[in-house]
Amino acid sequence: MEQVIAFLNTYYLVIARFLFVIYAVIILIQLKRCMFHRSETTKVLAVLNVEDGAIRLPITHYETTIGRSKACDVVVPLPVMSRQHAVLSMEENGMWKISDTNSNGGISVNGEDLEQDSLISVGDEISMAGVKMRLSPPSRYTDEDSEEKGWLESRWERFRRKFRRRAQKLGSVNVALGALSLFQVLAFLQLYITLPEKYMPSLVTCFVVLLILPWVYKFSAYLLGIRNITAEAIAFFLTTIGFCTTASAAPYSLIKELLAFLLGIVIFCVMCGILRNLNLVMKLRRYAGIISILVLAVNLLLGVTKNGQKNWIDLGFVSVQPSEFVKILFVFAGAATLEWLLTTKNLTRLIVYATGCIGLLFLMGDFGTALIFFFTFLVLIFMTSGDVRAIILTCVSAGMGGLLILFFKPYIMNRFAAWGHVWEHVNDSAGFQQTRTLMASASGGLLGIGGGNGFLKQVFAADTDLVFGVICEEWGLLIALLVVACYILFLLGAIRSRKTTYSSYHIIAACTAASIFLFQASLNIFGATDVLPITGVTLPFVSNGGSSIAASWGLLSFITAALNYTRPKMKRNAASEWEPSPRTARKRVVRR
Amino acid sequence: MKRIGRRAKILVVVIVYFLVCLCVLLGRYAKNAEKWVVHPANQDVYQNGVPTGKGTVLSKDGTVLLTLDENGTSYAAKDALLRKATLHAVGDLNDNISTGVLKTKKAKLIGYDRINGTYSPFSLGDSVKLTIDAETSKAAYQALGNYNGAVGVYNYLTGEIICMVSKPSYDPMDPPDLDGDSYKGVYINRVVNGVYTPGSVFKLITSAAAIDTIDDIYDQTFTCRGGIEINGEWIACTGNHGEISFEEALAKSCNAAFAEISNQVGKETLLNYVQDAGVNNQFSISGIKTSKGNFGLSKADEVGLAWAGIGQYTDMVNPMQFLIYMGAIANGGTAVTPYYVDSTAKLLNQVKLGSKENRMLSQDTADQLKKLMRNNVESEYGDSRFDGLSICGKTGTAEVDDGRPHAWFVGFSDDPSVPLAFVVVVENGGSGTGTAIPVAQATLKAAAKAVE
Repeated sequence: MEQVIAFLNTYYLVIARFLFVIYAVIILIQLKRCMFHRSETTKVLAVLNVEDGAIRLPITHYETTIGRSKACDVVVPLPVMSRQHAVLSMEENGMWKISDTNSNGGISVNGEDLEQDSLISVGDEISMAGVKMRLSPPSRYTDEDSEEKGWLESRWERFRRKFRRRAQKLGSVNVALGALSLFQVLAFLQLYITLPEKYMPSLVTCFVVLLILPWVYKFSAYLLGIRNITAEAIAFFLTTIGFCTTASAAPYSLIKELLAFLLGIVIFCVMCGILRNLNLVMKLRRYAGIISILVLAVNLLLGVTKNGQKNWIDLGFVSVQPSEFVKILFVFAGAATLEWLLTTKNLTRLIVYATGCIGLLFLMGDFGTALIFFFTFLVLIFMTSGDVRAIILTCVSAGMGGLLILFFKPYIMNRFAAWGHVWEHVNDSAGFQQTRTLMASASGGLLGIGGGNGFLKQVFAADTDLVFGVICEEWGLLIALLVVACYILFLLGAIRSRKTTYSSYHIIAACTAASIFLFQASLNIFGATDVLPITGVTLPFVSNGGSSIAASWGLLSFITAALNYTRPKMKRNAASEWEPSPRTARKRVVRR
Repeated sequence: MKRIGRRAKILVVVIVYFLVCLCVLLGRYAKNAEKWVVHPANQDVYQNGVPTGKGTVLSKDGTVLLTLDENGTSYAAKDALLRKATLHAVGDLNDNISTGVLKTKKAKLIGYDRINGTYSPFSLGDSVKLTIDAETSKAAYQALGNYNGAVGVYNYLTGEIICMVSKPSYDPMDPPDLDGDSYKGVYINRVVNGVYTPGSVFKLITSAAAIDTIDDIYDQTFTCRGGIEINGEWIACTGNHGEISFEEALAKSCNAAFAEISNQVGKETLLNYVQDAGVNNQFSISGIKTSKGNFGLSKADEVGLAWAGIGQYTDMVNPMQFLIYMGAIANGGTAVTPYYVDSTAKLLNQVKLGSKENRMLSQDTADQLKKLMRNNVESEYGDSRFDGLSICGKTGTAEVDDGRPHAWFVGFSDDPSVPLAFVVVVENGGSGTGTAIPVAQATLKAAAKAVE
């Protein structure tokens, strides 16, 4: 046996290091295709007949804005209309609902003036500032109408379709998961060779779970109404890399990480279930906001200080970092449906809420997370209001606030003292970690020197803050770049989800969650490598740390929801009169 | 939905921000990875403060000078003399010697490459082959005796540096206490990074200017009365040469004659010729930058100009630069840039470093200088001392503020089968003829064997 291990020790990595990269590339290519290449159908959900059918406008989204402005989904180019007049959205019971968005002319349904919103049945007469409209089922909207007016396909899209006939290959999640399993087996063998004997039981347990769980998930995801599991597959890949680095740098905490991972999956599934039901979500939002503030406040009062940050709570048997979980609540409370956005039109509450969260984090001394929250807040403001001026204003005031803090507490600057010239601080704490990370990354070359073989793992925080260095050193720059690509893929997928999901809540939440991943990854990766000042945040899914891993999976649910929930959850037999009939639904394939 | 979708698209700026950071990181990685990997704090390479790897350093004749294995680095040369003589080309364990290949080629010696990193289970290791010859180095080191100094010899046709000995040196296997006065500047490779007052060897540059710009230089006679008075100040000579021609003046190194010649040439012309000779330039020798010399006449009056043309005043030169200048004279005016790391040792790396030529003198000037220098040896230094190598040379005795003068001897062999240029500086060695020539003699004897 010892001879076998000695033999493997010399020869295994020679081949395996190439296979690692090959499998990782296969995984990423397949998942990229899955993310970008789906056949989509644009359905006519209803038809809006203006002035007794003088103009017939198709409704193609479950949340639709109506108004004079070209930015609206349905443009009624009549001067009496407000620029943004109304929102038409489909309710859970399958009924359309019209809401007035503070329009000048007002809305009346069947002659009754609308206070706020009203459900609509077939044949109801809607009057917007005197313009009469009727909503009718799509069955009377014919292909000729669409061909003639080109509603469904812009000229540009038609042009593009003409020249991009060559169908790209469709990605296969099965191939990706297969490659992932092979990757895991090979990685396990590598770690089996290099890890001390006493960690074998936990290593075996972790990798068995890692191997089985993606497949179990794949075959049970439909229970949650999930068919597109691309985002989860990416997360499984990142988690695998995370276990590889933890096994090398902190093998004693493998089991803890495994439990956190499982907890994360549970949170993920629960979140997916909740997000399926938007009415519930909109009701729970405010509570999420209140709870998150409370949690942070409790954290501040009862928190335990670790590494100069008071962001831990000791629960006796385990200590957690509540701020990680508050991220989920923050996104949950910050995103909103189109109807809510356009009828409420009030950013004040969001600003107060976000200021509260960020302020509490500052008091805890957790500047990294505070920065992430600030960034999240900016993304939320932008996504909900589109107001660039508000963002600039926020940034300027935050910048001044920051300067004020530096003025009163200049020692905070010391944290950034070494930024940009870490090589002058090779042997003091200001540049110790960054320089070791850079040395180790260079040592790894493109293919790495093998899991468990590096030296960076002995440096403090190698499994969390410097984890990118460990990946570079032990698994090579190529794998590290593929890890980086995963975070970019999340955000591209979230942006892409605008074409599939039915509610703006999901788009906003998904884009925000994916932006958090990417931004946090940037702080971690570029902080450790001295492109940015080091802030000590974790790399989502990869860094060792129970709270971080569980919370990352929680955030992932927003992306999954946006990629999968393409129509409102309807009660059975609810208002079948609005079902788009398959005969008239125009189907087309969008290639990208 | 349209609006929200549009806003979602704008989030691409987050990706752009990320990619910009990534490009900065990858740019730095591409540029500096080799520097990072050889840092002494990198425990993938260093064990107990000693670099590990799989490389060897070989001399020109194939003698192994240094080996790196998984346990560390060891100097393989068996005799201490060779270790001392090649120390500045090979380098020390702590990277104090900046010209050592242990520092400059460390990435290669530790077995690092961009694709595999420091992982190399099967490679036999890279060897770095030096152009330095072991026997010549030993001969030169021994010939310097108790003096400190620098000896450089290179093949002026190919650029190979055969000998690059700098003293003081020490045995890296048994390092003495280097804080003492006798080891002052021990880490400096004096051939490449030393800067000395040139003394009379500088008259070669003045002569080059005179040949080109003074039409009747060969017909003039100069009067030496143990010196000459210029602007009321006495410029002393080493002897009383009486009536003397230009050719004799160079051979006898007559200060009186060169004081006059310098003033005939004039400030600007002399400055141009010094510039062409590269005194104020840096040269790149296998990636190492030579130290700049110093030549300035901005504050010089006629007396200053006279002393400057003789190689005193504020003149400072670098031995490697002077060696290149010798190569240029020998080679018809163009110099081949020297190198000491044989880049052809690895088949993949066929680019020759020494092929870059630069013209320092015209062909005609070079030939005339060559004749004059040949005459120096034949008439003054004694041709028989050099075993028929047909040496052309010039001695120098550079007066310095502290102690005896530095002894210089520079030149080259005009024998096409032994295309060697050399420079010898013996610190506080006294006269060039008395101290520097014997060092050159012993070195060239060994070098000639190495070239054959």
